[in-house]
Amino acid sequence: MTFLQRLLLGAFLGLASLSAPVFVPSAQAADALPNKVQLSVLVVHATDSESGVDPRLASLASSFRYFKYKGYRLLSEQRSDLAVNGAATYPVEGGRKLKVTLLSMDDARAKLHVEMSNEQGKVLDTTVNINRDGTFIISGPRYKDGILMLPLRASY
Amino acid sequence: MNEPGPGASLEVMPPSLPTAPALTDAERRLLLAVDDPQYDGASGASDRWFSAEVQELRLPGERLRALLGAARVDVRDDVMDVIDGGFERLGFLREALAGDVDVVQDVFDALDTPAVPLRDVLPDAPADLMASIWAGIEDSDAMLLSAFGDGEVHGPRRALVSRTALREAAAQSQLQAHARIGAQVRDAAVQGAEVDLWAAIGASIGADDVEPENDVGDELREAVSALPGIDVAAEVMAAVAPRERSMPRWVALGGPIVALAMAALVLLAVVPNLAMPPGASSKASIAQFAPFVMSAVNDAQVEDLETAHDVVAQVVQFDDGGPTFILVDESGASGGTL
Repeated sequence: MTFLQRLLLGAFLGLASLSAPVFVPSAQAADALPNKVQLSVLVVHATDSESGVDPRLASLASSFRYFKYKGYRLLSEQRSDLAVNGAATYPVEGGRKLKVTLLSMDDARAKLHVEMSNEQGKVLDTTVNINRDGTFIISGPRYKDGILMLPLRASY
Repeated sequence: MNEPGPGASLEVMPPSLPTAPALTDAERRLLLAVDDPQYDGASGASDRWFSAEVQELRLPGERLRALLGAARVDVRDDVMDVIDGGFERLGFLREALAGDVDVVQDVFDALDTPAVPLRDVLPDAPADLMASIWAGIEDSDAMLLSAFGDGEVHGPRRALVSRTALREAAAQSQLQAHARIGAQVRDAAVQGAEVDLWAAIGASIGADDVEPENDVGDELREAVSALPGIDVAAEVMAAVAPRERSMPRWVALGGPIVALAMAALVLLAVVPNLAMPPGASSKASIAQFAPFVMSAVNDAQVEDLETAHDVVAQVVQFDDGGPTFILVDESGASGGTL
């Protein structure tokens, strides 16, 4: 075996050792491990420069009617599995960040600690107790000609 | 006059001496005198040996010995003087004594003796002597002149022939004729050396029916063009081309290992939190934008809420079972944070 072959073999074995212990799809993990929550965070731009509701946001359209904006466009969707005391940070347009920590969970409800920060620092700090597979929305941070809406869903 | 005394008799000529019927008695006695080591011409002791005739013909011993080859130069001159005096048979005597005389050429030149008289007086000379003499005499005049004209006559014979050629007009004519014939023979030999090369060349390339003065270039070009096409470059490259591998080089060098390493990297990139232990926080991955599904029941309870200075927050639920909104108003914010 040449030196190059030995080098490549060693690199492969190293990568394989890192990946071997963890490889579990999130859906399977949710059923089998009720102590993890799949958190979905959407970033929606409510604006007057566009009209209509993003088809992917059809289930939220009835809730948007209470706002004055003409259009609602999905900018991003991020998902992560959180175990108890686990946290995830999500980037939000406008230089903001959203940090969510799973404080507790049971068969019916999950408690989440939510912190929203901008370039200057944290502007929002709240604790929400949401039912299983329930959604709550943080709305109002200014973005371009409208505002941002951040639906959060805790599924398990 | 001194004459032999009573009872004295002439010595018998030794049998080694050649006998020439033309020799006179005086000459015979002269030969004997030369041979006798006691002979001294100056002392007069030879008077008892020679008759008046012999005495008249007598030469000093030194002069005679000159004829035998041991002469000094000054003696040679004296001998020549005697020869010029008309001693015609002196050449014969010299040859008869069979001695090597360094004045032989001079003697012959001085004798100026034609070949015929020599032939007549030297029929019984020793064989070696005869061979040398007859070699110059036996050739016919024409052959001799031809050899002379070709530079093939050397030594005494050449001198003899040159003297004759100068004297005789017939010999000069023969020399001129020989010169003309020689030139013609040489010219003929040079011309005869020309060989028709085209006959041999044409036959070897199958064009012997082509006149050599014609341009055969067109025929040759047609013949070459009719040959099957040969891609010289391709033939050369085929000979030097490297051996083809059944698989790419990088595969042969360890392709399987590289492929597995790349697959591992792809897995790390595609599967989130693949290398993260349970409970660790991580940067959330942006999933594909699938339709958002909201539950029919969305019951959220805000247990506590803090905002930055000049930021107003309000919790609102518009519909029963609908999502709870946390409305954040930053319109009055001056940059304050929690």
